[in-house]
Amino acid sequence: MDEKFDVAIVGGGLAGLTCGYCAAQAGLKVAVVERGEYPGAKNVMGGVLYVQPFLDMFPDFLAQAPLERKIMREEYWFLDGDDAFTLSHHSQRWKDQPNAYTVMRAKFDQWYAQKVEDVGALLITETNVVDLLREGQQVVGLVTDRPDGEIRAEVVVLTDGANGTVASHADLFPRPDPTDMALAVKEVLELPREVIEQRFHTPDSSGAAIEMFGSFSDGALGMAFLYTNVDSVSLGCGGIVSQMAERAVNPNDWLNTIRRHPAVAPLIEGGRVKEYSAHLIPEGGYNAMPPLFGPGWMVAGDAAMMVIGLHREGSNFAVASGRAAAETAVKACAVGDYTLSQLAQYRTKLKQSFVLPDLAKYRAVTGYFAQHPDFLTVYPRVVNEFAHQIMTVDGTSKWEKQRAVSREFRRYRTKWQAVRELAGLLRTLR
Amino acid sequence: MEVGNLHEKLFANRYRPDTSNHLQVKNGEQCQRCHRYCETLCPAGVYRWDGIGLVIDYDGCLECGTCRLVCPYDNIEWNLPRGGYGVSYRFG
Repeated sequence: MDEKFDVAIVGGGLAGLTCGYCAAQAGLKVAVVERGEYPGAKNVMGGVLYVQPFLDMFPDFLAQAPLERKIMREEYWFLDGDDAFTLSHHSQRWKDQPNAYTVMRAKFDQWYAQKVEDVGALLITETNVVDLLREGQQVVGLVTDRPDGEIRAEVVVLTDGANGTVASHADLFPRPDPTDMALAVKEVLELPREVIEQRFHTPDSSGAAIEMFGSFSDGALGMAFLYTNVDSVSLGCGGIVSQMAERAVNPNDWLNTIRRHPAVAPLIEGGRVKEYSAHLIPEGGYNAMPPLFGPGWMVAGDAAMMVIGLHREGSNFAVASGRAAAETAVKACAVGDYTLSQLAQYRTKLKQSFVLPDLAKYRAVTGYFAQHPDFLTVYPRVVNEFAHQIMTVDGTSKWEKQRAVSREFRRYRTKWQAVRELAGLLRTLR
Repeated sequence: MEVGNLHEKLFANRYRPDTSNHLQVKNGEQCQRCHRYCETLCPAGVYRWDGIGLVIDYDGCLECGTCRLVCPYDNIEWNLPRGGYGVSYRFG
């Protein structure tokens, strides 16, 4: 390609499309290179999208974008065997101030990509980026798998996601470690709209998001989820890759346990699989982040490990970092300086926003669970046992029941160990 | 449908199959001395040990990249399927 671009972006996900949108809107000449048939063809997430970043960009976002259901109820389930102990938060405040919607990324990203094209960016689909063009240390463009496929640009933004191959191939930074990545699988199960609304008590396109932890993950840092879409539900689970390898477990083993759980089975009964997907999630957080920029390049979104798994946040970091990369590119183009020191503004912007402070805040979480491998089996077991004993009336005194639960708990932990362990957890979350 | 039958699930997906395999084992001998986490973890059942070597059924690949990460010998050459080929999620 003979044209030269201001910004060339690798990957049309939320980070790449946001970067493309913001840069093109500011008048830069932008190319977004996407390997799928269409943006979204390779993009997977559990399905809950926080909408605030999009409301800031598109005032009529809620009316326009292909959204599934507005999340009005968030639940956390702690499973032990066939038991479940659940916490839920219902809020009518989310009705007028929407927080999150379920989305199908293949549909959503196509909509978003159209917005990006509308502001003048060039979207190049069905094209792999195989390497970076360089002059000395300076990155000056992309090499694609198309004939005559070099794309020259002042700034390259890597947004090729959790399974990005460009950075390691071009020796910018190594591929992530399996201790820092989670593997998640998901089934989209078709169910009639009214069945979903009855089973989940979610009338009028409202929705529920259920997160599950417990014995199914055999102590690995793993979770499962069940989300409502318009006429399907998304059931999935995932865990840290290295911890699944240690346990010689496939994510489908967990999924098959979860789908048979008596609290889950009636909710998904009769659901027909419409799609089955798998994806990596970067869970390593702040400590595992790569360098964020270099001469002529920046990296954003999942490719930069910007996820807080605990809060299911990642899309918001992708959007914010994509925008920060675009703003940095706009400044760089204005002064004609694409060196490392100029692009360092990207890091400054991320530091001044919520992105780096939040990622830094949760830096120790993934490591904490790796060091306490039975946390997610012991505590769900104990809360379920406690609830069961206290709620069962069988002629035994409450004193005796309390002692039984306490005895059960002491099989795993002394009182002192538990206090230390929970204090440690609080410290990592503080 | 049998609950959780992997092949049935993969059948629900839309693929545009490439004619060449994007997953290659670099040194087949290495796999003999390995736990073969690729085979255990792959969510699409792409890898199968037939007693001599790894059989790679790349058509069903969901392109998650787990095999690349989990191979202790960095013995899997993971290339992207050609642009536009491979899995094409309709929902995602």
